[in-house]
Amino acid sequence: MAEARGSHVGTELSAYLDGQLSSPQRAKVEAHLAACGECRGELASLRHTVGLLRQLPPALPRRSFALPAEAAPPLPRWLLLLTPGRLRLATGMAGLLLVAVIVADLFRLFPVAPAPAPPTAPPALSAPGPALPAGPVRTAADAARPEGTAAPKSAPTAPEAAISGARAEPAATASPSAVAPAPQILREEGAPGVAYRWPVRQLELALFVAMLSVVALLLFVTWRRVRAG
Amino acid sequence: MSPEDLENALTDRARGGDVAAFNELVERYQGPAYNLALRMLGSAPAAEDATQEAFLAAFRNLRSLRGANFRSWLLRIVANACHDQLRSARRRPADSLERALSANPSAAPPDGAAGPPESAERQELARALEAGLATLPPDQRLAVILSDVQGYDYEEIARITRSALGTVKSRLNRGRRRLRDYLRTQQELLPARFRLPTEEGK
Repeated sequence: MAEARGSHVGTELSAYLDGQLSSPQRAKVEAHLAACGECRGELASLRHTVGLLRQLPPALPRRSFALPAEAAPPLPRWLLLLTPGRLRLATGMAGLLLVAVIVADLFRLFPVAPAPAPPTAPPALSAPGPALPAGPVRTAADAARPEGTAAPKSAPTAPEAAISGARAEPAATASPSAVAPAPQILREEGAPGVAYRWPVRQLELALFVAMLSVVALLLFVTWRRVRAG
Repeated sequence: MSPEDLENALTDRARGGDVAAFNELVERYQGPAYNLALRMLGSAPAAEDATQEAFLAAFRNLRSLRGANFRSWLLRIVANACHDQLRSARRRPADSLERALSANPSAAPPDGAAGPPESAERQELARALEAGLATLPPDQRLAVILSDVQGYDYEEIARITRSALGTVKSRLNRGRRRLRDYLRTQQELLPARFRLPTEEGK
């Protein structure tokens, strides 16, 4: 007689065979089996298949797999923990963070410190500042961003992202001065003309250095692993 | 000292770079390791490569063992080596065909104890099972081999494959059913006494 598909216990039969079901589950399966010929047949064929597999004789290896006396020794734990994958991830994250900070710097998203009273001396903006068009700055930042996001996939582009990030930095510091309305000679962190409450420039530098360090570590670890065979 | 303590002493010495100590472990576990590779890959040369690779990798990575069960840890490395072999075989199909043809693992009976008719039947069975195992996706194949060919329980299989018990259960179930379905299509090739029971209730 046809039973609803959902009530068959096909998926539980292997576990039932292996004694992996709890008592209530086992009771449920047995109750179903008593009533369902299809599942009984399924169980029998599974049991038979497992029985055949169990009869496969163990094969004797034709040779010994003992290592030669000069086998490369166990790697130190720190080298095992610093897998290239994890280091690439760290590089990518540092790169992304660096790009995020630079972009935030460009758009002056960081909290600005209140400006002190400006001196009466005439504005002495850095000459390249206003002359610098906004175009190259954005393209440099744009170039840094995709390279930064691609960093987790291929570490070699990370140094380029760092370098273009560094190039975008001085450009970024120059451009806001072109748009700053009031001439303020402030040598605080961040762009001349804008003072940040946080040490943004130091942060950018620290992230850049961190990224370079992780890349150097990645290269070193890769070299050690290749040397160890 | 219990066998476990003896083994821990060996792994401790091996971890310090003692190759001889490690080779004692190799001798102890090369049977199960080779068998796993052989059933996974279906060819003796490929299985030998994978097993050797696995033992080299195990020695290199000994410091990641950290008190876990040595056999489970080692078999995991063997399974990974098999996956690597399968991946590279997919990229070089001509090479792997040559290997498969060069050595049939069930050609020579493991021991000469069985009489001729029975050993011929057993060889047929082994060939059919190997062909069936080869039709399974690697995850299911691994679960079926570990459970039904090598006899490990669900917990150990979960440790070796680093998956949950539920995953082991489902892979095992699907693998067994697939193998059974394959064997049903090959009934004529199986010796009579090994053939599957006919389906009931249909």
